[in-house]
Amino acid sequence: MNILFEILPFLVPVLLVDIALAVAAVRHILRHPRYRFGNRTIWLVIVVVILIFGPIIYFVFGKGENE
Amino acid sequence: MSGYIAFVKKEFTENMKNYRFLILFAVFLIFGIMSAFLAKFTPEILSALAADMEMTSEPVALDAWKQFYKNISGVGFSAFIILFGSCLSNEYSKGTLVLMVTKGLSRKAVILAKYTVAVALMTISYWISYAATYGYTALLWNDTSLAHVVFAAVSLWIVGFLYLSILMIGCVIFKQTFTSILFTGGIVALISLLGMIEPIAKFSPFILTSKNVDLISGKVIPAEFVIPAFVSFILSIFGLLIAIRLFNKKQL
Repeated sequence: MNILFEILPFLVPVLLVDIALAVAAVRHILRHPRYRFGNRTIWLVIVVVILIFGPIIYFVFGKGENE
Repeated sequence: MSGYIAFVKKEFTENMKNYRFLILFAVFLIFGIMSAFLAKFTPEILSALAADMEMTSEPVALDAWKQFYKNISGVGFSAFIILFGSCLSNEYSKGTLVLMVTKGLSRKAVILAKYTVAVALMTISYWISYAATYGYTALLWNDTSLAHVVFAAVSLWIVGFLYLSILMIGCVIFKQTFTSILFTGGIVALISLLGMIEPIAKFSPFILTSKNVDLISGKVIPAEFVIPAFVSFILSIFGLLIAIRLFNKKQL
């Protein structure tokens, strides 16, 4: 358990980036009802549950074309 | 010239609005941090999970840079090319360029502005990633024996210009995002194949992506990088000129 507390401070920036991405993605999902595929619930779960890659997958593949 | 500046502004806004910049920033920053982090702690994490595993050697600062160059030259640049592969195909399919070009925006300005913005974003995210790795490496190891750290990073950065210039040609030739990405991948693969042929290997830009770690560890000298960097620079300009020429003849 000791090692976990030793390395945790180094991961804080990664966590911050992940939170920023997730917040941006959730905001975008809630404001835009149309997606290339899938629906709102699926994307919200993906974005929040899959760390870092979830929001990236949403912005690259899931985001609807028409703003 | 004013058309160019206006188009650069438009491109910047577009890249901010469609989250490309945010994604690249996040990916590169995380790669930068993780390169140093994983190099340092993977052995410890493994031995904490499996107590009977013997670690053969203590990780050193060079391992962090090995990870950095592997990640950035592979996944980092791929992410870049995939995200920017749609930079012209979207405009073709929506027909948004026709209006601007017929209203007097020069075609040269379109290509140059797109390239400028791509290069600017690449530069920002690349050096952020570098700074993250550098900071974490300095924090985790008190090792100052490594030489030419900055020079090695600059050489990979120069290759970034070349890749983007090839991508511009691909985007101009093909109407679909996927084919332009495929084109870029093919040319990059060709460059690395040519880099293996003995007589021209010394001049190939491939050295710039493959020998960075050797440069830091002192196995090769910086002088070997000068000609490939120059070749890469010339090829980038050449590629951009080809892209402009092709775009001038392209039907929008």
